[in-house]
Parts: sequence; structure tokens; C-alpha cells
Amino acid sequence: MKQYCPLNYLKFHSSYQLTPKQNSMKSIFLPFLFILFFGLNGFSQSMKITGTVYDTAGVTILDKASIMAVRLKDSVLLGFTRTNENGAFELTGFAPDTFNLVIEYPGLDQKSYFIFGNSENAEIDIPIVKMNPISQQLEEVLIIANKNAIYFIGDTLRYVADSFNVAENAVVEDLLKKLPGIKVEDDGSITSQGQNIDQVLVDGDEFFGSDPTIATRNLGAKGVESVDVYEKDREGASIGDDDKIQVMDLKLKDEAKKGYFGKVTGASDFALFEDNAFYEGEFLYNNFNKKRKISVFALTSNTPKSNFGFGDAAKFGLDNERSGSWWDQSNSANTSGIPRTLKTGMYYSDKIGKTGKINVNYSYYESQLDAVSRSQSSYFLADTSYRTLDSVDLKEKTKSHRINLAYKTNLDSLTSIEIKPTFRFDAATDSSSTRNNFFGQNNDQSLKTNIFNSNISKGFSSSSELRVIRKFKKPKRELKAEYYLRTSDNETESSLENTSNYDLPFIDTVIVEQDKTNENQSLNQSGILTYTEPISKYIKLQVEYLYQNNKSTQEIFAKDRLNNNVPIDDLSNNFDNIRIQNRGTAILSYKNFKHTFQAGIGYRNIMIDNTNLVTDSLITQNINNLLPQFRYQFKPSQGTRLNIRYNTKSDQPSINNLQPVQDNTNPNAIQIGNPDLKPNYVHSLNIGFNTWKALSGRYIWSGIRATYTDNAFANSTSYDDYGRTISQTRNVDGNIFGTLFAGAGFPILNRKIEFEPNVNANYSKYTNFINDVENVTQNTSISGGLGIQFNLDSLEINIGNSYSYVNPVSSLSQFSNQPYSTQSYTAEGEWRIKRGFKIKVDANYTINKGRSNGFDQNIFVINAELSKAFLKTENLILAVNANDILNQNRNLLRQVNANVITDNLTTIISRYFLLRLTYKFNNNNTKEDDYKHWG
Amino acid sequence: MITNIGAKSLLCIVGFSITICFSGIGQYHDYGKITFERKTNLLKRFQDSRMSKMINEDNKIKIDKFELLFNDTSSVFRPIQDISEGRMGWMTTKNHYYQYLGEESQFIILGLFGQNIYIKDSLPQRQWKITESKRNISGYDCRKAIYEKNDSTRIYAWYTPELTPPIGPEGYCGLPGTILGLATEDGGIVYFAKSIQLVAPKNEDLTPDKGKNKVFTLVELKAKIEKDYGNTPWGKRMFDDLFRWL
Repeated sequence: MKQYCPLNYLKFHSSYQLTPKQNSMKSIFLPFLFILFFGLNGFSQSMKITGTVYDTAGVTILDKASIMAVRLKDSVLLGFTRTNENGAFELTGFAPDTFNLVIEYPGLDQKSYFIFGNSENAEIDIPIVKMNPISQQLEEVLIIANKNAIYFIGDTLRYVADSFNVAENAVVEDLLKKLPGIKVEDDGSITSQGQNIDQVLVDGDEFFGSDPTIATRNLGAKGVESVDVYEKDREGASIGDDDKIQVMDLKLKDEAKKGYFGKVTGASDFALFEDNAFYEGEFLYNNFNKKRKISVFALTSNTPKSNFGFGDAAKFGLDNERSGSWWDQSNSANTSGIPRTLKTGMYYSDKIGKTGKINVNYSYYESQLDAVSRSQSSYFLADTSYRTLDSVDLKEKTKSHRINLAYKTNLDSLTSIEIKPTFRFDAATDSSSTRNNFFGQNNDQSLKTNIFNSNISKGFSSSSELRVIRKFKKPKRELKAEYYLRTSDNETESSLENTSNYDLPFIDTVIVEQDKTNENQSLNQSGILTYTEPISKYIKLQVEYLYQNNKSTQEIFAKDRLNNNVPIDDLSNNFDNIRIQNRGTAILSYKNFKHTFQAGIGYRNIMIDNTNLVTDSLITQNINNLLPQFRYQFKPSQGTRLNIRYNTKSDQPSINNLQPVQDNTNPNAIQIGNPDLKPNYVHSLNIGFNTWKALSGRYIWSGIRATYTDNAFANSTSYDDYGRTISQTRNVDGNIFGTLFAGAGFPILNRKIEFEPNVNANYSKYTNFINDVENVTQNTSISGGLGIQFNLDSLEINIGNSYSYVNPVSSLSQFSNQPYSTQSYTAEGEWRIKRGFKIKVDANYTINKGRSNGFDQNIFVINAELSKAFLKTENLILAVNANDILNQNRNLLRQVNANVITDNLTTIISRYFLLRLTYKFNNNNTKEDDYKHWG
Repeated sequence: MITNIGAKSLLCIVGFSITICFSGIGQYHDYGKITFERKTNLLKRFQDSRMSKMINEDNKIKIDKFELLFNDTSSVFRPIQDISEGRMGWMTTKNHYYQYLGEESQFIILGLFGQNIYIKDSLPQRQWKITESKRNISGYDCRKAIYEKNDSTRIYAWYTPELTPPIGPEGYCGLPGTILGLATEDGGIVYFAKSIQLVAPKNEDLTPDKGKNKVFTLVELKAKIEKDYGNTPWGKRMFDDLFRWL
């Protein structure tokens, strides 16, 4: 047996969990070691490793040192032994394998040798194993730092930031990368000593939400005084959860607790393709210091982009501008026309005292919409049918000022108070020109009308909340008092000009010109008192009492312009609605670590006084309801959940539905209120199941939602000979709505490809009245689709399709029972090419079938973007956007409403091109990342 | 000034490290008495509704005490009797294990509803997976090892090389040191050493009192219980309980 020199060059700091990296390490070393051990004498079925263990100096032998062999492939312990009094060991008794030889001695660092044995090379001798002191690494750090760079305070590991050299303009992330034991992944996630950091705090507080990269990539490293890593209790942890989380707290130097970041975007087509130029502009800026944060924002556009992206709204703290959701960042609201948008405002938040926090927000919105739409409606009555062709040309301008305030503080350690007033001033003008053409069964035109409406309205509304929460020494006992005050005061002046040509082709013309004012006020107050008592650790009782007092009045005054402005009694009214609600609810819940049961019942009384101040008639209603509810949740593991929920609620009709006066805004479709209308009563059942396997990334979600409504608000419509309508709202029983949905995700090939199938089925049944005859409509629809995602390093592609089929069945007339379908195919791709170039393409092809002539259109929309990022930070981005390259976009909508089928087509913005320049900036001149975390 | 402080701290740290190095060397022991505390989460053990009436959040953790007496060749793991145990006593197992490293044999007394069952067999051979995870138990640095009993059951053991006999609670053995912590993966049953005294055990403690009872081998006992009770749910539970650690 030959002896080999100490295998010092074979030493690694070992890690037994076999990762792909180690795999590759093995394959690199295998040939090398093969050569090393080739020709070794001896032949045996069993490995035999011998050696002698010495202390750090290599002088003193160490006895009873532990020697073990751990197989590299699966970490299985193959054998172990100890050194004898001469420091020598012999480890044998297992078959040749590739393994890690670990030598340990208390107070000294462990030593590892990777050994690649085979039956010919099974005997290995390591004559001198020299152990290293455990403190060596710490010492090295200290020599570089020449200061207490790392130390423990209790359980907190503290790094003193100045001890680690970072470049000028470095951000916190650059600093973290230099700290021993801390690793920062490409996506910004952080581990400390191999454990994930769950939360990054700045001076003990979350910094702009839960995304840690906003802190680590925006704060300058020079401003950090120390980095603390500690464990803390997970809030709201349930039994069985890992109830500790790892926290990194960045303590800032006083002068560094300030900074800014922002974004400017401008885009236009410079009127190259159309007479009027398309444009988009965006400005976002945030300035913060230790306590105070200020954001200002502005957005202007005449494209469908009318909102900030979800990510920007989250990053800049624009809480009241958030719209859409993280899964749809396209932020192009599907407007029904040609919009023009201006939004601007500011947010201010500050800390007052130890626990006080104030938020102030002012926003100004100005929008304009020009919509041109045409529609065809078919009406099916018991004895006849007819259709109308309608076109509407609408111009709308709105302005709105909004003020949102919030103040929250703790009065003492158990009591907190929150006040949230909001105010809103609105002004709007709109004018619409509508042309209606009525055709009888034999396709003869019987009536033609031209309606011109204009409205000027202004209003003020407010909504305020006051909440006091009192906790007690006994955990989970809580008393909550809430008060809500909502007021509104609106005034609308409108004019109506209508020309109707009857008895075509013989012309009998009627002209109407009226002016109307509508003043309505409301004052709603409610108080809620909730008390929670933990009866045992599992059982909790909640009791709630609600008192609500709502008062609303509406005065409508109409006069005839063609007849010396004489008041029109039929169209004028003064109406008053008072509702007083008393409701008591008790809920008992039982919760253990897997199951939650909750059952409760509410009892309420509503007293309603509807007063017609013109006729001085009073309708009173006194309604008592029981409102039961039930909930069950089964949570067998963190990733799997079953929810069953049944509850009942009751909605009240609006004053427009109640006031017994005609609304002739559309003289061909008159609405009239019904003061006898009762509140409805809705039973709803929700069942949901979802499961998610973290390791494989597979998930399933599914559910059922169903409602059953008594005293539902239903339309009762009467038709005259021409097909004009008068509608009133009535109560009906037994309306049903049900939906069933399911979907899943199955990733394969390390999540490079993911399949996402989904299916959805709907059923609804509701009643309305046509010429006082009951008509029951049942709609059944089914839809399904499959999405496939490809996630490659620089390329992401999603493709998907969906198919939906709708079958409406109406009891009164068979004619409207016409099924229709929609198929849709989508493809999306993003390709990040080198040197900052990026291409994004998305395409959507929709096939409509079963609609009226001219509405069965197939629509193919392709959008594309080519962008290039400039500067070292990639913060300057130039892009060319092409929207709807094929110029096909239409807003096409079919509505089947009882005995009416309406196909609607609205002109919306189709093809346009934009050259876009975006500049992102911060006070550190570093790459400004976009928000990319959920919710 | 800063340099001074820096230099002083450096000295302190270096001094401290040296102290650690020297005080840490040579802390090996091959005899002693370890007191274990076993925490059983009864809610995780008994999941049917009749039982959950008796168990609530306040009494769900049942604590039993055990001791492990050992020298370099022999050891005994046994329950420390608790008079005040009361009606919850039957809910957890209390077994004795006598292990003899030299002859690689063990003698087990399983407690089954107050009746003892006697078993003599060889030392169990378990395949351990070694991890890099470490924790300190009662002053000893321990490394975590994992035993995959079957597809659904994994058992964690924390052993310290500083106590040299390869033994542990519930007859668990075969690691390069004494096991000071043993737990089912879901944390339903955990054993942790609460104190370690370096006292040599008496010989009579290391010898079981067999009486004139029938002594099974493990294979025989498993076959008997499987045959007698295996087809009832109750028997299945008993079987699981008895052989949880075997």
C-alpha cells in the first residue's frame, strides 16, 4: 500500500445536501482523482481509510476525534470510527463509494475530504490530518476590518457597515454581498447563514411595502450604519407553522435616512399617421426621509392607458390610484370610446409621536370620452317581434377633486384609534345624440326618433370612518367601536330635445323640449359595536350590534320649454326615504390547526318610510329578517385549503328605483320608480378548494359559487305598438345564479414549461315581466381553455386558447333562444436580447359566432414593442410600441336580457404607434428596478 | 482613538478565540446520566373526535421524563416514574431499553397498558442520512441526522460526537455519538436532553429484571400482534404505537 502526501488540495468546505452544483464538481474531479488513485495496490471489497489526526500546529495528536464517511450521492452515513490514543484511525466496513470523509474534534473546525473510491482504489491513507481552528474565519474578517465588524448582541447578529468597503454609489445590496454569511440571489432574495431572510426592515419598519428590493436597491450603502439579522415571531402563525421568521434590519445613519426615486415617461406618434397625435406622459417621484414620505404623480394620455401600472402604484405608494391587479399589468382599461385622461396629485405620510401615522392624499382627475356606438336589438314578445337600430354619439367630460385623510395612533398600549375622512367634489357635463329606428315584424319602419340629451351636474360627497379598538389583558379579547358617516349632495340640470316621426311612411311628428333639475341629498350614519371573547384557545364568540340611520331625498322638477316653461306634473316629484336598521349578530367559531368552524345568526329590523311630498302620501315598511351564516375551513397543510361558506344578506333599493316619477331621459324607454319595493334577500354559497405543491409548483384551484335571491329586483316592461317601453322595478322570488370553475398548473422540465388548463360553467335563472306576463330566462354557458407557458432564460412565451358557448332560453318566446359562441387564441412573448434590446409581442384572435348580421366579426389584434435600454444602469429606455398592427380592434358585446338580444359595437382606439422614452432615476444613480412582487 | 479601540477589541477577540480553542479541546466522555424530557403533542397523535374532547390547547402537550444511563459498553434508557401522571398516563408509551455495544444486543421491555412485553434482539441497523444542520442541546453541539423509517415517516436525531457511545433514547443508536435529541418529523413527539451528568452508572441499573416472563424476538412479537390484532383499527393503532421507534 502506498502512502500519499496530505490531500490538502482536496479539502473543501463540505455540504452534504447534494446540489446540482456539487454534481458538476464531482464530474470535474472524477477523472483527476481517477489518475490520482490509479495503480494503487491492494484489492478489496471494502473501503479502508487510515490516518492520524493532529491539532492546528500539527504537533499534538488528537485522540477520540470523530471520523465518519458520508456518501456524497444521498448523504447516507456509511461508517464511523474514532482515533485511538495515538491519534490514528482506521475506518472500514463499507463498499467502495464516492463519499465525504468528515473529521471533527470539539473546539476545532471540521475537516472534509472528498474521496472517490472504487474496488481497485479502496485503501487510502492520510498520514497527517491537521485540524483548523474554528475562529480562523472570524479572525480574518477582523484583520481586514480592524474594528468590531461582526458581533452578537443577544440573539442578534450585527454587522458594522463601515467595516466593509463598497464602491461609491453602491446600494445596500452591494454591501450585503460583501457581508460574510450573507448571500444575495439574482432576484434580490437574501439568505443569511443559508437561511432565507423573510423580511427586510429599515430602522425596524417595512420600507415601501413588502418587496425587499425596494429597500436594498434604492438605499445607498454609505448610509447604512449596521445590518442586524435576528429571528422574530411570525405574526398570526397558527399551530404547526414555523412560527419564527428571519429578519434583516438595516439601521441607517441619521444623515442617510433620505433619498428619492422617480420615473418620467413620454410617448407620442408625432401625428405621423393620423391628424391628431396620440400621446402618453407619466411622471412619478418619491422623496423620503426617516419619517416622512412624499409622492407626486401625473399622468396624461389620449390612448387607452388611463391608469398607472399596478407595480408603479405599489412602488410609489399611490394607494388610492391602484386599479387593476398584479396579474393584469396591461393597465389599458377597455374604454368604450376615445378617451383623454389627466390625473395628478400628491401623497404625504408622516409619523407623529411614537405610534401616530398620518396620511394625506389629494388627487385631481380630468377625463373626456367620445364614444360612437351602434347596436341592433331584437325584441321577442308573445305575439310579435320587432327590432331596433340605434346609434349613440356621446361626449362626456368629468372633473373630480378627491381628498383622502387618515390618522392612526395608539392612545395607550391596549387602545388604538383611527380616523379616515374622505371628500370628493365632482363636476361633469355630457351630451348625447341618439338615433333610434324601429322596425316591425315585416321589416317596415314604424318609428324614427332623434334624441338630444345634455346634462350638467356637480356634486359633493364625503365618507368618514372612526374606529376605536380596545384590547384587554386577556389575549384575543377585543372591543371595537366603529362609526361611519356618508353624505352626498348632487345637482343636475338637464335638457331633453326629442323629435319623433310616427306612422312612417306617413309622417306624424311630435317634438318635445324639456328642462329638468334634479337635486338629491343623502345622509347615512351607522355605528357598529363588536365584541370578541375567546372562550378557550379554540373557541371564540363574536357579538356585533349595528345601528344605521339613512335619509335620502330627491326633488325632480321638469318644465316644458315649448309651453312657456310650465311645470310638468307627470315628470316632477319630491320624494323622501328614511331607513332605520337595527341588527344584532352573534358568531361562534372554533378553530384548531386544521379546521375552522364558524356559525352565526343575525336578526335585523328595518323600518322604511317612503314619503311622497307632493301627494303627501306615506308608505311604511317594517321588515324583519333572520340572517344565518356558516363557514368551514379545512387546512390540512400550508398549501391545501378547502373553504365552505354560506351566508345571507339583504340589499336595499336605490331612491331611483323607489321614487314614483317617470324618467324620460330616453323617451323611448321610460323608467318609473316603485315606492312599494322591498329589500331583497340573498342566500349565497361558496365552496373553494385549492392546493399547491411548493416543490413541484403544481397547483389546482376549483370552486362553486351560487346565489338564490328572493324579492330580487326585476324589470317589468310594457311595450306600446311601436316597441317603446315603460319599465318599473318589481320584486320577484327565486332568481338563481351558479358558477363552477376549476383550473390547474402543471410545470415540467424544471418549470421551463407549464400547462394551465381551466374550465368554467355558469347557470342563471331569473324572472322578469313583459306586458305583465311572467318571463323566465335561463342562461347556460360553458367555457374552457388551455394555457402553456415557456420560461427560458432570455425568452418567455405564453400561448393559450379559450372557448365559450352560451345558450339562452326564454320561456315567453322561442325566438331569443339563440346560442352564440366565442373562441379566443392568445400568444405572448418576451425576448431579452443582448445589449439591452428587448422585444415584446402579444396577439389575440377572437372568433364570434351566432350573432346578428354584421356582428359575427372575427378580430385579430397584434401588439408589439421593441425597446433598448441605455446607460450603465439601463435606466434610460427607448421603445417603439405598435398597438393593433392589423387595425382590427372592436368592442363587441352581446347581451341577452330576457326577451331582448342586443349586439353592441363601439368604436374604440385601434391602430396606433408610439415612440416612448422612459427615464428612471434615484439618488444613488443605480439601476431602478420595477416592482415585481405580488400584492 | 478608534485604532486603539479597534486594537483592544482585536486583542479581546483573539484572546477569546484562543480560550475557546484550548478550553474546547478534549471534551470527550464515555459515561454519564442524561435526563430526557419527551413532549408529545396529543392533538397530533389522536385525531379522532372522541379524543379531541379530552384534549385541548392547554393539555395537548404531554411531558414525560426519561433517563439514559451509560458507560462505554452498556446503557439503559428508562422512564422516570411520575406519580401525579393521572388519567393521561396511558396516552403515551413508556419503554425500557438495555443495550450492550460489545455483543451488539439489546433487551427491551415494552409497556402495553400496564403489561410488560420482553424482547431480546440484536442492535437495530438503521440507515442514517447526515446533514449539515447543527444545534446546541444542553451545552453540547449536535449534528442532525435523518432516518427514513418508511415513505411517510422520517425521524430526526441530533447527536453529539463529544459523548462517544453511539446510543440514544428509545433504543436509537448507530450514529458517531450519543443522541441528545430525537423527534418525529411533524414534531408530534420530541425527546430532548435536559441535563447531562458525568456519573458512572451502577451495574445493577444496566441489567434488566427479566423475571420468568416469555422473551420474544422482534420478529416473533410483530408476527404475534399482527396475527392477534392486526385486523382491527384499534390493533393497528396499538401496533403503530408499539413499533413507532423500532
